[in-house]
Amino acid sequence: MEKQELFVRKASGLVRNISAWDALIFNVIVMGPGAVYLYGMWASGLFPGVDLTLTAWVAAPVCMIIGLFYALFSVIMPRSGGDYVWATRILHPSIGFSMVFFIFIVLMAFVGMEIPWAVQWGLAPFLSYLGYESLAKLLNNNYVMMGLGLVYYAVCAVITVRGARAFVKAVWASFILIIIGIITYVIALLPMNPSTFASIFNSSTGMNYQDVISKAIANGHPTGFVFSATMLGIVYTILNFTGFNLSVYIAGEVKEVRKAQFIAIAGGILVFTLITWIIYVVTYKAMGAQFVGAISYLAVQGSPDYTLPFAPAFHLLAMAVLENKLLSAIIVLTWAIVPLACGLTYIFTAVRLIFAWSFDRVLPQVFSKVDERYNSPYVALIFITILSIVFEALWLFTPILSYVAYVVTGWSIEIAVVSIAGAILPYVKKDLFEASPSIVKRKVLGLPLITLLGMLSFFASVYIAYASLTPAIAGTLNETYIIFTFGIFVLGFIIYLISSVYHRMKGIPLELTFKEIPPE
Amino acid sequence: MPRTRIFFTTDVHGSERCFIKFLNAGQFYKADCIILGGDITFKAIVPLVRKGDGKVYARFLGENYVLSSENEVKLMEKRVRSIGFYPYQMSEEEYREYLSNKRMQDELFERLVVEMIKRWVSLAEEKLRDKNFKCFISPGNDDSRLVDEYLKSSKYIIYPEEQVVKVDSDHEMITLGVSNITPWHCIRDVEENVIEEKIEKLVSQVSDIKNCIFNIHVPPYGTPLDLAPKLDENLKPIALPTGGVEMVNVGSTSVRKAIEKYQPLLGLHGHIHESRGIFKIGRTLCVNPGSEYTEGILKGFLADITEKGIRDYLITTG
Repeated sequence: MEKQELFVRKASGLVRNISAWDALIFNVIVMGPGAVYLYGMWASGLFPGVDLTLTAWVAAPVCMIIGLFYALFSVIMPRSGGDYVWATRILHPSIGFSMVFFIFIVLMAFVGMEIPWAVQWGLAPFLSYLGYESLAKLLNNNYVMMGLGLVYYAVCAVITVRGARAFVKAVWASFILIIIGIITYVIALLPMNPSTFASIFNSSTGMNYQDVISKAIANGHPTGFVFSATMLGIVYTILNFTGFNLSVYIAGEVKEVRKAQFIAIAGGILVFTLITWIIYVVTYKAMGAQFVGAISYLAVQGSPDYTLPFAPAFHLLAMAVLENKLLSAIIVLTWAIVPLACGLTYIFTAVRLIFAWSFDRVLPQVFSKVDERYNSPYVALIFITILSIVFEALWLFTPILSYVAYVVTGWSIEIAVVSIAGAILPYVKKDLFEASPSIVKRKVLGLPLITLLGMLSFFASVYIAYASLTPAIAGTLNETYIIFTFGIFVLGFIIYLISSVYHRMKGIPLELTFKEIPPE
Repeated sequence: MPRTRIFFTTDVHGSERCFIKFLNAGQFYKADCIILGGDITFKAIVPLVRKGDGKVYARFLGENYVLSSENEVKLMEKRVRSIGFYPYQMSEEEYREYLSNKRMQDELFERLVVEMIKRWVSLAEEKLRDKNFKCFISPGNDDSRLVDEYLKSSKYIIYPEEQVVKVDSDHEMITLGVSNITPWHCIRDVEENVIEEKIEKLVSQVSDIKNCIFNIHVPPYGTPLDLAPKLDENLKPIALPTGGVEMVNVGSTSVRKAIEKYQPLLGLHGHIHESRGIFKIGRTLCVNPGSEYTEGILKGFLADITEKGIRDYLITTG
């Protein structure tokens, strides 16, 4: 059929600031490429016998189902601030708020960890490797990390206050550096095989390659891959994928949002899967899968046979065996950018959430104040900067943030609830559904596509929740941690309730914010 | 203390779904007064081309449709209207003629704008009958001058353009639909000095400026309410190497000056759809609720006002 044209008259237009590719990179950065080195180590240590390369390809379709569901939901309600508004409109505002409040707390908890992570898994081991032991120890001091945190949060604030443009620049720059680090890791390890790796490892670390394997086996580590361990070990890979759909929260600033969310979410998952898979394949090829599992197992078990001065994260093992210090520097120092870049994206998102809640009157009006020069929500930014410092102190000086260990469980619950909202949408919001583009209304197996994807997304998230509790990320199932996780949802619910009662007494019910006016 | 609840929305640009929501908003929000602040007419026509095989062919939102029955055509017309486009049935010959003749297209626009506004006024008559709230509708810089007479003719719509009207016993409202010059040189684009003169003239008729509402389509310059992409000579946004586009303030300096000078209670604005926000200039709360008419979503501003000021407000996504 010939392409028919619209007749358009001269009138003012509408353009957004963030492109689909910016949003894709945003999602990839949020997922934390490079953190793969750490999550791989933890998965190998906690789920003996896990096949890391397989976890990437199992995690990818699970996340893709959820991702496609989110992207399709964006097609129906493209501009409305993500799952917060979806759940608000279809279920109840208190549910929408408490869910996104959980995400907010998790983001802030991670923001508090970024400097300690950059130091403990990047800078300090590198200084140690270069022989600057005392400097490494100094950096590892909690008060020094607090000081570094102040500088880091100030830099994040300066970038965030300058708006989306400066933020996008910083994200792109970080992405390029992180990718350079990963490419360097791959190129440096590719020529190695387990026997060359073993000989350098034996001569440079004071540990013995073969002893690591035999001692791990003696302590109960299996001799080959275990399917059940792989299926449960995907939790760590999925934990690493967490945030692949975060672009829905910045939808208001994304251009051609319908198409862009598909590109950003599905593309982000694909790019991240490839990064994860390549890192795992190269690591296994160079170091040997049995060794990777064994050394991670000994480290996680706290075995006295593990004597390296740093944890066996893959980039640190690479550093230990590479004779070229420049390559080691690139791998480890660009790795240190990963938590810093993640932190920036979390801060950017958290500021916008605080601003949005204030704009929607759930939080006091003061948080939506904007400065005239950069049009940035400066009060929300100051609040988030202070909160970041508080969360870093909580991470460094108290055990409380270890309670967010069940973040995957909470996140899966949140997705399960949104999935229910999506699945029932064609039946409870018929008008909205009928007005949607045909892709949303397409039927598969007699069900609307959004219902089918909602159901699949629900089952996928329930499986992730189950896998995250069995046998539990933290080692054993800890009831306090679970209560803490649910407590965050409850706290969000209470905050909404207080605000709702206050506004009802003052005059305008808060529930009217997103309630749809009858269109007939 | 008696309070008046006002609901303000703007820039529905031909979305019939949004317009019906606006008419229903008074009852839905229990408002005493509903205000539609300009840019009410559509920007594009979707040709529904009837071909020799008796079927109607349409291209809508990037998808091709072949409509075999009258019912399908009606449903398509409703869909097209709901997001701010205007459907028009024509033969294949007419379509080719319109496509090649810009003057004919302009005439078609004028004709259909009148058709649309007549249709909307009659919808308003039907919906607002027996309702006890006020309904103000004014044009914006994008609207043809033809719409004014139809708005004025309605029994239930109050046409407030370039007038001082009473919202309640304590609050007056001045209304201005013009804009400073835009890159599109729209119908009601005027120079800044004209805007200034019009505001001064209206303000001179206001009895209590501190309780006055400025219902001015274009937002004040240099605020978060007036940020739009900078355009090149082809009216395309200037892309940055980092992927974003350059944003600039495009509001009216005269509006800003007037708000700074007179400090009214409220500034109700629109015009820049993507600059949804709230900003205080001195004591004046300025609002641009933004617009998502293409999604059929009615963005709005709901406020309870009293003799003493604004008691409470909410930005709505209806």
